[in-house]
Amino acid sequence: MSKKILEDHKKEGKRLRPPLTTIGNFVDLSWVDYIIPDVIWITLLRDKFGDKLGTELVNEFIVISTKHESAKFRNYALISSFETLPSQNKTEIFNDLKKKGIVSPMLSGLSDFLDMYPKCPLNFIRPNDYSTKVIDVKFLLRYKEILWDLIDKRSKKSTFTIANVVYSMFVLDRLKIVKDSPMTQFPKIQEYPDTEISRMIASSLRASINAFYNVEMFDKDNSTWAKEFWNRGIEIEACKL
Amino acid sequence: MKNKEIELNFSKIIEQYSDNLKNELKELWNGFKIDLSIKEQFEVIGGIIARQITITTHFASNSNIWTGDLAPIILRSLADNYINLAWILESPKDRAQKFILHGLGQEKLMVEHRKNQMISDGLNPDEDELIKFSEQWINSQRYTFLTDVNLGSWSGLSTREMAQQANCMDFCNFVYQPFSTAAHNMWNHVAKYNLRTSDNVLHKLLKVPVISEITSHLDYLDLAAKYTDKCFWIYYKKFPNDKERKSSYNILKEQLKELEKEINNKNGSA
Repeated sequence: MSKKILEDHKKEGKRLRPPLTTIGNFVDLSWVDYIIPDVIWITLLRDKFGDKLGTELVNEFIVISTKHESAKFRNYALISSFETLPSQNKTEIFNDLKKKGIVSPMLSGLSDFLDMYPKCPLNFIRPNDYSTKVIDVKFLLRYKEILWDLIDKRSKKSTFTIANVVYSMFVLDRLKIVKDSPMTQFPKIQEYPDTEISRMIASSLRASINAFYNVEMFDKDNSTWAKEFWNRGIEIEACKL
Repeated sequence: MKNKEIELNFSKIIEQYSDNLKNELKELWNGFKIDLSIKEQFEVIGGIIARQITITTHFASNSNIWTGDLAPIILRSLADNYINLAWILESPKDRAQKFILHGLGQEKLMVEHRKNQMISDGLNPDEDELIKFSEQWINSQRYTFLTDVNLGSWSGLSTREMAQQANCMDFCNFVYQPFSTAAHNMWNHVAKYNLRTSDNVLHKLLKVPVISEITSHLDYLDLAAKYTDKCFWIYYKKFPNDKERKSSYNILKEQLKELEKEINNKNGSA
């Protein structure tokens, strides 16, 4: 006897809704549209400094930023979190970064990117604005390669970027996991995609990254960064017929 | 085998196919035991099959429209026509009546719209040739003032429901439905045929408009011929006779196969 078509879907009038969209408040959050613009800085730093040093630098930045957060809890692994951060807080973060000697390596890894995206909220790390505002062609080529990798959420770059975000949540003690979760073997993500456990961890990471997004930014369309990020791309290289 | 020779042989096959179809229609019509007290039944069945053949023979003569963009529009029309026929054949007397009355009502509605528009434009509808012709056409079958206008579907059912009742759900699901996406210019046709993804990652996988080249596929001719053959098949299933039927579709397939063999042989030995 043949199966009824889409029998797991819920019928609402003439619409058949997939099960996931009927559970609670489902928010359609696109990895490409919203999360890549927010985490690209992590990928760039890891690309520049390698996995170990890149991870340390990223975490240091997130921890310092979190220390100076304003009233509402935000995830400072995400660039959009800095959009509405008051200038005073940004100054405090910058000063702290400077004290810890982190500004220089950050700029070394992100200057070219910030040149391309002058409206990026992370520009507060170069308050004197000494950028040339000229886009480095060599960097642009490399940047596009990195971005292509990130478009694929299952790529190594994407996986390690997401892992970095989640790792920072562990460091800040903002993430708890159940004892049977594959995430208890989190360090094995380094083996991705060569081992089964690393693939399971990666799967958990991909499933959970949306939960780290600052939903109120999305809901109220408060984040202009995601729009700015992609529209800047088409400004840099127009799409003409 | 030279291209010109292939083209010529192919044209001959298509011409013969058209002729064969006309002969099949003649056989079908001449085989009718026409009862003029229910002549609508014969008119509708004959008309629908003639329509199917007309569309297919015109389609067959124009290889430029055997494309993913255009062929589905035609094929969907053929599918729709077939489902209509299949449903009518389940109860030809009253369903043929329904088909006719609905069409007359639609014509009446078009005439009224046109009259309205002409009056709005300050013109005299009584002087319009198209209105005169349409009204004459309606009146030759049923007085316009006695003709209902049905704003719903002609059968009172959706095409899907008709297909269900006529036991051709698979045809509806796998032919009518998919080709509807092209006929209605829906996203799942437009995005595949008229857009391509930008290869520049900075464009966030933006889909860019394209105008496709004309790439003809013989498969579409095969499908059109198949859906026309189905009309004869369903008719003879309902009204069998003891004559052996020579399917134009089967002849077409054999001849195309022969041509393909010839081409391969001559290319192989070239």
